[in-house]
Amino acid sequence: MNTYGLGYTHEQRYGLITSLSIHSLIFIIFFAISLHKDGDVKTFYIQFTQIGEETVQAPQPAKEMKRPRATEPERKVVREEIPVIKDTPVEVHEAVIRDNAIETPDVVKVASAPEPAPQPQAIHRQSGESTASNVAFASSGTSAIIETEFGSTGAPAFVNRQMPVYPTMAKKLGKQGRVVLRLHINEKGRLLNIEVVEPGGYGFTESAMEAVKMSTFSPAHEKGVSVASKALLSIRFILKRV
Amino acid sequence: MEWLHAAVDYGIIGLLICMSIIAVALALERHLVYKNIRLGDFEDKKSLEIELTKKLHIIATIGSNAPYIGLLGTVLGIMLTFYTIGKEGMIDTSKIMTGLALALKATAIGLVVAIPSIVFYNFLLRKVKVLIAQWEIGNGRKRI
Repeated sequence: MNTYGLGYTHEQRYGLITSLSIHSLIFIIFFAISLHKDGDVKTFYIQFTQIGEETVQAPQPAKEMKRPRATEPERKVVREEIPVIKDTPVEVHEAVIRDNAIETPDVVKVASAPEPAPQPQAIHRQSGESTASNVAFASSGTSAIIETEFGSTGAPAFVNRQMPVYPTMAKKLGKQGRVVLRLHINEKGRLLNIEVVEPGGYGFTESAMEAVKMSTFSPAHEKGVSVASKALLSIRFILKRV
Repeated sequence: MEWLHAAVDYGIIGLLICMSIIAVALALERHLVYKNIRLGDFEDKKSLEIELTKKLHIIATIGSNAPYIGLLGTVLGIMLTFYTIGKEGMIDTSKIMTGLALALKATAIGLVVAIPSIVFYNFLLRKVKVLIAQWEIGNGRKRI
């Protein structure tokens, strides 16, 4: 009790051990509570969807729209330039590859004639696409760049896919969203540029772009040759309750 | 500025946790000492007082300084958040708010450390006074 030296007395040892155990107990309780809370909190799923898939999910009046997915993306690519063409199902498109500029106005003329009931979604997207198609027209002279979208054959693919972070505020507010980006990928698979075709709001766009910048890609293929491409990528942010 | 982030997250909070462990350990040790002390062993009132008040100042120091250290952590955290906003432009409101909220946790931990320390200190100080008074009663105030 009266030791003034460096040796630990019984009381000091007791105090230190008890203090440490109290603190670790508090920590354990704290972590247990936070882990327990995580269990019933909303978990989120971020989906990478192809644009073609999107139309399947959208409310469609005609049943024959649900064809095998393989044909879907190609049909959709054309629609993406000329939104009105959307519901004419019988088209066979190589319009994806833009070799000359004459081809596209031609399609526009055809497209404007058989206009079925315009879908609200098509109108919604038109604003984003009008600018996007302008870019496409401008670059059509270079001829080597193909326009495609993720998931279709010959399109660029992810080598290392970085998942976007769900923005915290959007998660708290329960907001979902979709971001459509157009990635310019050169023939070596390098990402050159990102265009925002459809912004998502609530930080979705930033998060998606952040993830895309960190991902790596393989280049698009056309007849077995790697080519530069502009590929549409749709990223959906979806909340699901577990 | 990455080092500042690490300093706030690990340095300040680690320091506060160390302080908390020391304060609680000392308080328990003092409590045991006061419980087992034999007042008859002490001839002089001053030597009893020295023995009783030993290490109490450490608890008092921790109690009074923990909020300041926590506040320092908060100020550094807010500095860091504003620096990030300034550098990257207005990015995402949620990011800013999260940064500010996390900066405040340093103050919260500082207060959590300080409150029990002050309570322990006052409790122990009262015990010291009681023990000295008991010694005085026992020795009939003859050797003061």
